[in-house]
Amino acid sequence: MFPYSTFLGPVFWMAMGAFVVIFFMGLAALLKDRQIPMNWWKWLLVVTWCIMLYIVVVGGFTLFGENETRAGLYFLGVFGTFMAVVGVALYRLLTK
Amino acid sequence: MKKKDKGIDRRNFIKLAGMASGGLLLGGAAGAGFSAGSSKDSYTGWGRTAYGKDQFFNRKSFEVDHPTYEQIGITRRIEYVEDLFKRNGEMRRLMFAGAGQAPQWRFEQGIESLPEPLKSYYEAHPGALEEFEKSLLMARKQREDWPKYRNKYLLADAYSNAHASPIMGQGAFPPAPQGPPEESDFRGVKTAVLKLKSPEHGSKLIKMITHTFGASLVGIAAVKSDWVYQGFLRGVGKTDFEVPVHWKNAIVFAVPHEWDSMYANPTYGNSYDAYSRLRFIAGKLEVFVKEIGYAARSHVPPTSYEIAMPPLAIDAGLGEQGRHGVIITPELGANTRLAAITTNMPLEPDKPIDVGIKKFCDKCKICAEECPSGAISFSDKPETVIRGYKRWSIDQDKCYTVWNSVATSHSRGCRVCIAVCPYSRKNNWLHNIAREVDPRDPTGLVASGLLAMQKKFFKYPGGQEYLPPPDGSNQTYLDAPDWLKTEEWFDL
Amino acid sequence: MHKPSNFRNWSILIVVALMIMAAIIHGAKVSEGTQRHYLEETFNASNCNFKPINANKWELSGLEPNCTGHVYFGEGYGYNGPVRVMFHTDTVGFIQFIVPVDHNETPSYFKKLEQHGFLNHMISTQIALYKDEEPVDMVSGATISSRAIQQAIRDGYLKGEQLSTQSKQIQFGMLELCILVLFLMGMLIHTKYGHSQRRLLRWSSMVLSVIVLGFVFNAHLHLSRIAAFLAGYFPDFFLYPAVYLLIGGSLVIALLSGKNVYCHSVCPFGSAQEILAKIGGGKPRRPPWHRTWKWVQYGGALIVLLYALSNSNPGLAHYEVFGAFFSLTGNPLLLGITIPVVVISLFVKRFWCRFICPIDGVFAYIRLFRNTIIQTFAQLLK
Repeated sequence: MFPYSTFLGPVFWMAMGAFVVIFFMGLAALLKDRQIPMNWWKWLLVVTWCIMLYIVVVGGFTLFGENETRAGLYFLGVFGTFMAVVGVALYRLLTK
Repeated sequence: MKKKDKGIDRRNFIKLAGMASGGLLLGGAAGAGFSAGSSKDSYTGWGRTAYGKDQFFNRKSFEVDHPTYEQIGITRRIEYVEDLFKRNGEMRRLMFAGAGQAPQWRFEQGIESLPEPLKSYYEAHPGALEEFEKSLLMARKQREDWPKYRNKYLLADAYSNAHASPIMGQGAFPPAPQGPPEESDFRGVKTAVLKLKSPEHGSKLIKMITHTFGASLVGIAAVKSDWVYQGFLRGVGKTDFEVPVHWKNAIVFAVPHEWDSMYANPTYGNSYDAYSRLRFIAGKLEVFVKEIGYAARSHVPPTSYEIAMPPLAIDAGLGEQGRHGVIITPELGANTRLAAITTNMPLEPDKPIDVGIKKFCDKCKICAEECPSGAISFSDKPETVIRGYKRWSIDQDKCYTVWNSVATSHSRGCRVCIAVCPYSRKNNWLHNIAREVDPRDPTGLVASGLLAMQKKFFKYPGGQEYLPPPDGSNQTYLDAPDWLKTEEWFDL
Repeated sequence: MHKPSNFRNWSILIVVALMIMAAIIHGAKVSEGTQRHYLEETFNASNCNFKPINANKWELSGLEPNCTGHVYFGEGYGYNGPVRVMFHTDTVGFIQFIVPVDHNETPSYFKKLEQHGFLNHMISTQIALYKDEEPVDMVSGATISSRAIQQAIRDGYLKGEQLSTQSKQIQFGMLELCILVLFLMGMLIHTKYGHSQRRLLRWSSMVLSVIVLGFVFNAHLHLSRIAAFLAGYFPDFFLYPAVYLLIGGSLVIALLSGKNVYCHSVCPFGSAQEILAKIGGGKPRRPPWHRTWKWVQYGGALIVLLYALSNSNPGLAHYEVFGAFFSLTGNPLLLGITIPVVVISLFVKRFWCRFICPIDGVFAYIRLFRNTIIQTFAQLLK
C-alpha cells in the first residue's frame, strides 16, 4: 500500500485494528444509550453487515485503482444501495 | 451530580470516537482497496516475481483425463498454408517478386491459376481471397494515414518497436534451426548423459528452471502429431515430413503482455513485449536442455513454429480454449502468450484441466461483440469442425484486415479480444475471489452473476469504435497508462 | 356546484387532447421532412422527384436510372428500442438497398450485420415475401438485432401498401400469461373478499410482478411506449402481444371500472417500492403542497410527451427509472436518479408513483375522462 515504505504499511493496519475496536465500543455505547437490547445473533448480524459494507467499499475502490472507474461506480451504486436497504431493515429489526 | 456529568461525557466521547473510527475505517477501506487495485504487485508476470507462489491457481482439483475440446471424426495435421502468416507470406512472394521481376500472380488471374496448396485453400474458404485483397488495400491506407497519428502514438509505437528489435533479422534469438531436425535439434548436445532419477524429477527441474528464466506459467505435454504443421519445416523448407521421433515431449510456457498497455489495445498495445520475452526464455531453455544432454528445439512467436501452441498448452493443462480462439488460463486469462521447446528428455506430462472456461465462453460473447472485424462467432456453442476437432475458430482473414486498419504504424495486431476478455484480470483479492469460487460452483450461478456484472458494470466501446475515423473513433478498451501517452511527456 | 367543475374538466380534457393532436400532426410533418431529407441525401435530388404516398411509402420518378420504384420507411424493435430503416424497391418489387435511419442500438450494430452478410442477404429479395413472414435467416447470436431489421422492412411494406397482417401464430408465452394472471388478481383484489385474503392476493401479485415482469422480462408501461402508440407506431401484435395486453388491459379496466389496477398491483416498480416501504417502514406522506405538486408531475409528463410527439421520436419520452432499477439499462443519469429514489422509497411509501411517475398522469387523464363523462350523463339525466 505504501510503496516507498516498509514501515507505514504495518502502522496503517495497526491503526485500522484500533479503529475497529473503538468503533464497536462506540457502537455498543450508542446502542445502550438508545436502549436497544442486543444479544448474540443481533451482534452477529450487525458485524456481518459491517463486514459486507467494508467489502463493498474496498471492492469499489479496487476497481477505481484498476482504472475501471465506471465499473467501480456501478459496483458502489448497486451494492451500496443494496447495503443501505439491508441496513435500514437491520435497524428496524434491532429496534423492533 | 458532577460525577454523573463526567460519566456522560465519557460515554459521549466513546460514542463520538466510535463513529469517527467508523468513518476512518471506511476511508481506510477505500485507500486499501484503491492500492490493491493499482498495486504493481498485482501485475501477474510483471509484478514482484516471475515465480511467486501467490500468483498461481491450484490446478490439482480441476485435472481431467480428457481436455475440454471435442474430437469428432478424422483428424489430420495442419497444412502450413492454413496458418495466416505462412499463407500471406506465400501470396506476397507470388505477387511482389523482387525488383524488376514480373509478379507470378495477380488478383485478376483468379483462384484457378494459383499454385497448390494455395489454390485448394482458397477454394475451400470462399471470401478469403477477397479479404486478403482488402487487407492489402487497408495496409496501404494504414501507411498513408500514419502521419496523422504518429505523434499521438509515438511512445506506443516506440515501445512496440523496441520490443520487436530482438525478434527481427539475422541477430534474432534463438537462432533459426539449420538443416533437418535430426541434426539441428542435436547440435550442441553434451554427450555425457547422466541418468535422470525419474521423469517426475525432470519435469520438476525443467519447470523451476523455466520459471527462473521468466516464464509465468509452465506445463508439459506429450507431442500430439495433430498439432504439428505439415508442408514446411524450418531449416529444410517446403517439404512433407513425418513428426521426428525425438519430439517426444513439449515444454510449453507462457508470459502475459504488460497489463496496462494490453488493456489499452488496439493502438497502445503491442505483441512484441511478450514475444521477445518468450524468445529469450525459449532460447535459453533450449541451450539448458542441450547442456544436460537432450535434444531440444524452440518454437517461438511470431511465426517460428512447427507446432500450433494453443492446443499443446491445453494438453499441458495451462488452460482451455476461448471463443476468440485464444487460450484462456486461470492466472492470465486471455493475456497468455505461448512458446515451447520440443525435446526427447523424459518428462512427466501434466494433465489437462477443466475450470469451466469453455462453458463460460458459450454464454459470454463479449469478445464477439467487441471484435472490430466480426471474425469471432456469435453462436451459442462451437459449431465449426476443424481438422476433426469441434472447437471455436475465428475468421483469420477478417481479423487480419483489422490489423491493417487500426491506427498503428504498420500491421502489428489488434488484441482487443484479449483486452476485453473477462478472464484477463490482474492478481488482486477481488478477481482472485472470482478465480477461486467460480470453478468450484457446480450450479453455474456464480458464473451467471459475474457475467451479469461484467456486462452491466464495465465499459465497452463496441466493435467498430476501435477503428480510426470514419468507421470508428480510435477507442481503446481502457485508457492508456500515462507512460504511453505522448502528450504527458512531449509538447505536441 | 357541478357545473363549473364539469366545465373545467371538459376544458382540461379537450385542451390536452388538442395539444396532443397538434403535436402528432407536427410530428408527422417533421417525419415527412426527415424522410424527404433522407431521400435527398441518398438519391440525386436534382434529377429525382419524391412523392409521398402515405406516412411509410414514397414514389420515385425522374431521369436518374435508379430513381424509380418505391422507398419505404419502417420500424422494428431492437435491443434498445425502435430501429427505423429506409429501403428501396425497384419497379418489380426487389429490394435494392436498406439503410438504417434512426436507432438506439450500439454503434457497431449494423456493421456487424453487414459483416455477417446479413444486409446483403436481404437485398434483392422480393418485397412481397415479407407479407406473411420474415424470409431471411437470422444472424445467430444477434437474433434480436437482425429480427428488428426484418420487422422494420415488413412494417414499412405492410403499412406502405396498407396490407393487413393475417399471418402468423401469436407469440403467447410466460410473460403474456403472467400479465393476464396479474390483471386477474388485480381485479379480484378489488372485489369483496376479506381483508386478509385481499392482502395475501395483493402481496403475492406484487412479488410475482417484481420477479417476472421486473427482473425476468423487464416489461413495463413506459411513457415512450404510449407516445409510440399515439404517433402510430404499432409493434406487430403477433410478436409483441405483451405490449398490447399491458396497455389494453390497463386502459380497459381503468375506463370500465375506474380502478387503476396497473399501478395498484401489476406495475413491477410500484410493487418493488411497496416492498421497499415494507422493509423500511415507509408511510404514505402527503405534504401540504402535494396537490399542487401533482400538477407539476402531470404537467411534466405532458410536456415530455408533447416534445417527443412533435419531434416524431417516441424514445425522447423515456424518463422512467424502471429499466435502470431492474436491469441497469439506460443512461448514467437515470441510474444516478434511481439510487435516491430507491432509498427514499424506504421511508416514503411509493415515492416515485406519488411524486414523479408520468404513467400516473396518463391514468389521471383517463380517470378524469371517465368521471367527467359520468358526471355529464348524470346531469343530463337529471
